[in-house]
Amino acid sequence: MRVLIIDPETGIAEGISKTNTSPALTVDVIHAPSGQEGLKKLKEWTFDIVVIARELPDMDGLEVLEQVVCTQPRVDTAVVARQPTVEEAVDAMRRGATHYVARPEGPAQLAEVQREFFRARHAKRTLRSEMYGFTRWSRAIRGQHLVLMITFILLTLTGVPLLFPETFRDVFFFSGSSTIRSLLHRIAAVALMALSVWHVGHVVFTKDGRLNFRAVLPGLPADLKEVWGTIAYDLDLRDTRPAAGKYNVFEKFEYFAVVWGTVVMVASGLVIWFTDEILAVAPLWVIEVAQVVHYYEAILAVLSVAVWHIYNVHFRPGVFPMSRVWLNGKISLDEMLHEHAGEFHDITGREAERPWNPGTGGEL
Amino acid sequence: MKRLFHHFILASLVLSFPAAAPAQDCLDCHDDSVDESVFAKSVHRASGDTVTEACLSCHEGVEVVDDEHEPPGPVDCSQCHDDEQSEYRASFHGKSRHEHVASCVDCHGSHGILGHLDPASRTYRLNQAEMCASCHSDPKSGFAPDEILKVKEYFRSIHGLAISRSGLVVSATCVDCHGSHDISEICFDCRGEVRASIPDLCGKCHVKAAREYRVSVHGGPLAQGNLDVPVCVDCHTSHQIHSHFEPESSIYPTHVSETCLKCHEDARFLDQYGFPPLRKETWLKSYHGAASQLGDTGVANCGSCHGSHLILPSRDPRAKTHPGNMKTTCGQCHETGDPGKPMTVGKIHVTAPQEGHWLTQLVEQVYVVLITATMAFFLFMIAIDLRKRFSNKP
Repeated sequence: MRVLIIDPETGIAEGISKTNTSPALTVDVIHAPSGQEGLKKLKEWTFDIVVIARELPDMDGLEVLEQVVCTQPRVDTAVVARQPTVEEAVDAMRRGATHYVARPEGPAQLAEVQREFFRARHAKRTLRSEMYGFTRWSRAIRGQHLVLMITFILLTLTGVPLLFPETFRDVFFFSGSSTIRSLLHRIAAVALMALSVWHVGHVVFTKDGRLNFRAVLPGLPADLKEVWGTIAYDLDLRDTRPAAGKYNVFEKFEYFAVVWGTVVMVASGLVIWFTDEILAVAPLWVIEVAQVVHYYEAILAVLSVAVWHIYNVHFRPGVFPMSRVWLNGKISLDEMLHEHAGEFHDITGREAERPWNPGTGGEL
Repeated sequence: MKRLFHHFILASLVLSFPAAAPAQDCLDCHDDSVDESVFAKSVHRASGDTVTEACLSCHEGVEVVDDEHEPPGPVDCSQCHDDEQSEYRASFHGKSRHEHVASCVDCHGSHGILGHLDPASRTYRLNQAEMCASCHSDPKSGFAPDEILKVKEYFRSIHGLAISRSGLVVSATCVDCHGSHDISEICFDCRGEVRASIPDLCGKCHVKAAREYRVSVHGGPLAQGNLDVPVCVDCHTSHQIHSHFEPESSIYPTHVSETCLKCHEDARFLDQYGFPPLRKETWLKSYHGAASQLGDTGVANCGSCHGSHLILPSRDPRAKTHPGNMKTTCGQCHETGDPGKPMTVGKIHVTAPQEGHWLTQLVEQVYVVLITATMAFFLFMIAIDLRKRFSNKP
């Protein structure tokens, strides 16, 4: 999150930098001591929050506010006044401020203001999510999914013919088509390996990656309870579906199945690819085992995706004909309430109202 | 009319009297049917000092009286070409009662006969196939379509193209396999002496291949009278022989297995000769087989490991598949770097699970269980999920 503080004094800027201890939030504070400088910064970056002092050395704070709202209309703004008056508050609000507060005196007061400010901001964002959908996947994760999807399809198309050579015999009708097949398979394999590196980098080095990875980590015995709870709910043994977090237990399983499958396929694939080099140092059965592994793991992966993944993202009532998470990264309030009630609670602090009646819409 | 003609002849004789009283030679009258320049080059022109002597050596019994003679009888080539004539009579052509069957003149011509070494001759090696084809690929000649097709295939074959495209006179033409005057019933499909003689026939030119073939698992039994074994044409075909670089060839890398499996998959032979079973299935299960089926010409086919002409049982130390030679055989493609390090030998055509490495078996079993269990679980979950979602109950 990026915060711009247009204030001749440094107290608030320093205070915000110090008081932020939330691990889920990085706050970049940019300080501009004058109105002109603040407006200059506004042209260089986009901000989530702009704090404007009522009294500035060069300009009127409310004029700066107007220009801020004009340049970045979706930004949250707070006007800090040394001597706040109701009339001025109304004026500031008319000009587009989201907050109008008295200048906090001391850290405790600043923290109080800050909390109130974030709470309001969070409520606004939650409301927006409820109306326009909750963000589930960032652009980076969607990118990774897209690359995974393309490489998986390509690997399947160029690999499966080898499992059924007689069936696909006539598909490879032109000379050189087998060369293209094996070349494409290797290109896709290298792309998949590159994707794995990207993914690990994303998980290790970005907040988004770390948060998602933490959400997908299995937890015992909660996950086993969730499996049983889902089965029991589906069989009418229970009234409510378990409140899943961002990733339900089956999604966690699917994620680690992909991780496992990729590791196995890349390792066994490399052994087969570099048969000659491997044979120089290892016995023939290593190649044979790698071939069997590559063969069966491919069947497992393709069947899993074709049956389980395609059901869940295409044919499951509620998402049919297609979940659009992979395109816009969002899920609707309906789906959030029903499929990820735990996450809904985490985000909004409210309980998802249940029992839930599927197919009738998500009245809150 | 005839009288008028006589008068004309007489008149011309009188006019030309000082030069020659009777016609000097046959061509004075027969220049309409015999081109002197063509006849002059003919091999038969040498048989007489004068043109007339040369004519009379074939057209016997012609006595010219007053520039006229009785029509001579049919020419009998056998008075000189005795052996050829008797060969011809015993041949397919000679025995045929067909009205248009080829006789001497159909192949050799008549007045313009040239030696078979003369490039202008119809019987010259580069022209000979065309000459045969003039009847044998003519749809009006009454030959069956498949026989006409064979001739056409020859011209597209490696032998035919070597003749027509490269002018390679040593390439096989019709007569090399079928004979010339003694053309006999060469029927490669039938079983008998002819079949047994084919390796000798092809071996006339392909000496090394024939020599290797004769000591191989195929050639050995043939010499002992076993006609079930493949001879040259069973693998290479006859008229449509192509180089193994040609995709239409029966021995193109991706077609070799098909060619070998004609017999090695045949239940009759499997029983009779105790062939190891499941050659095709076990090969297809390997990467070699699977990729080959998809058109990869770089992977090993039957011949890459077993050889082609010199196929020997793996117990023979000369065999490519003998354990001692595996390093070289696999090494044709798989350069393992260190020549001193023997390549680990494993079973190639694994027909039963216990023949493979124990680990491959284990992995296979684990995966079968894993895949079955996973799919069963998924389908169960989907089934109960669908039921719940469609039941419309809370």
